Amino acid sequence: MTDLNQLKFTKTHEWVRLEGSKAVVGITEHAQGEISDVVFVELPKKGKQVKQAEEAAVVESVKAAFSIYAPVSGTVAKVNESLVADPGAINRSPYEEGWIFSLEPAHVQEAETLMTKEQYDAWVKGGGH
Amino acid sequence: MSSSSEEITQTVDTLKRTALYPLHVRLHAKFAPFGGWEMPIYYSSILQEHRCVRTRVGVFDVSHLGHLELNGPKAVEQANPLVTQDLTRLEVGRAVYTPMLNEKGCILDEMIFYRLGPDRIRLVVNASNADKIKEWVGRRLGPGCELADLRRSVGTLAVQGPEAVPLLERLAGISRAETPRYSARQVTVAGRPVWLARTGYTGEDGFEIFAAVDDLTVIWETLLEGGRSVGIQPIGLGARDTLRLEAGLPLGGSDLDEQTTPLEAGLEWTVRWDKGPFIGREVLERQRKQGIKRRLAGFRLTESGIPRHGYPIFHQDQEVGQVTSGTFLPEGAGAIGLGYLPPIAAVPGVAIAVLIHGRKVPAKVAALPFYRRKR
Repeated sequence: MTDLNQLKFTKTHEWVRLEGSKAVVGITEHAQGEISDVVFVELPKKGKQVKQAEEAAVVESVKAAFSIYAPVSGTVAKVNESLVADPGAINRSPYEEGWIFSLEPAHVQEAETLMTKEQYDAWVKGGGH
Repeated sequence: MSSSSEEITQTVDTLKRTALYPLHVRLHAKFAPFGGWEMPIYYSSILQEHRCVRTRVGVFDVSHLGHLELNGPKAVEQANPLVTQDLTRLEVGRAVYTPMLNEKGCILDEMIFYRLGPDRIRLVVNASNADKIKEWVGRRLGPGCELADLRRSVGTLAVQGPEAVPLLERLAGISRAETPRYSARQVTVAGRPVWLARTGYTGEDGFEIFAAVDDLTVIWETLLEGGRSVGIQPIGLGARDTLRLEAGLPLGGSDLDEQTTPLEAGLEWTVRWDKGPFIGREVLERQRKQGIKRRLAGFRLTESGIPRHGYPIFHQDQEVGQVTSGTFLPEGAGAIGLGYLPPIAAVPGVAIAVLIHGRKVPAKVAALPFYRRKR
């Protein structure tokens, strides 16, 4: 099980996990519940450069298309190809099987601007959108 | 994560809530604004609820629908010129689906007229258009017909799916033969007087129940309790939208608007040319002679992606129209949509493409409806 206290969170409901030189990105449990029924994921291309808070992927549910923003700037290192055949993994397992892509961060310290699990939960509870 | 969908970012300050709002909260519904109301969009999952209605039965709180009533000896006579269907042929206890047009022959809204008595007609209209229709109808009535706005006092529950008819046979003590499709009659459910109408917006058989707002809770609970053995579930507006789209039923405000005539929208079957004058008739007659320039068509994507309202449609590399409704269906049925195309392209089998996030995704025009229930 992922220790959620090791993750950092954005106000746009992405999580990021720093693993050595990689930053793995996905969406939160709260976000998957809001989106419901993920049926299609548009993954970024490997090598694509993204800036913090820029759109990096698109997750589509029956309800709507949702932009997924890069929690930190960097270069896309890996994408979760298994989501093409099994987009529902984002709903079932948002912190593990449902990871979306990883980045080679350009400035690791950007992660410090993000929220901790506790801060994120309090922010969601306060009606943050 | 963020969505471009307007309904999600719309302010929630001024939204109305139905009498069942506290029950929806208890059922962990996800809410979204719809036509000025804060409505349950889904309880478990849109796809799962869609399947429940197609295979078993679901109950929907659709109390956002606007109920208006025309009462008086001239009700039929005065309402008839306002619609394309012929209300003089509408027998007491029967219902009819009809568009209401403006002078340009374009669709103000589509609705169902229920003839509840010789001098009594109930109109059930889309929530977002209810004020507009009330004003439009009200201005055109004369002596002998009164317009009543029942929106504060009447709510609607829809019970839809293959198990809906047996369920109401049990709970309302009716037989299916006495309540044919497009009929409405007074019965009691949970000891409360209701109008039971064999109408719906899902492509399945079933009923819409019109009840006093104060009775909705006990009726809702009776339906859920009585239907438990056949797997009934509460269904949100998300699945209502995917169900109606799969059944090829256009949505007012999305697929139909004040720039669209019934001939363009594939609703010519609702136009009774043999009736007398009605608002918009001259325009429709002209259009029938000259031919239409665009027509509502269904399509199916042949590669992955989801078409959504407003996405451009291409035919032979030309942008020819826009998606008006689109969704993804369960059971690997893929993505479907509706949109307006030139008549030459609006033919089943024609190859088109939909622009989705900058990518032209191939699609094929499909015959409507996408889904037809087994009878």
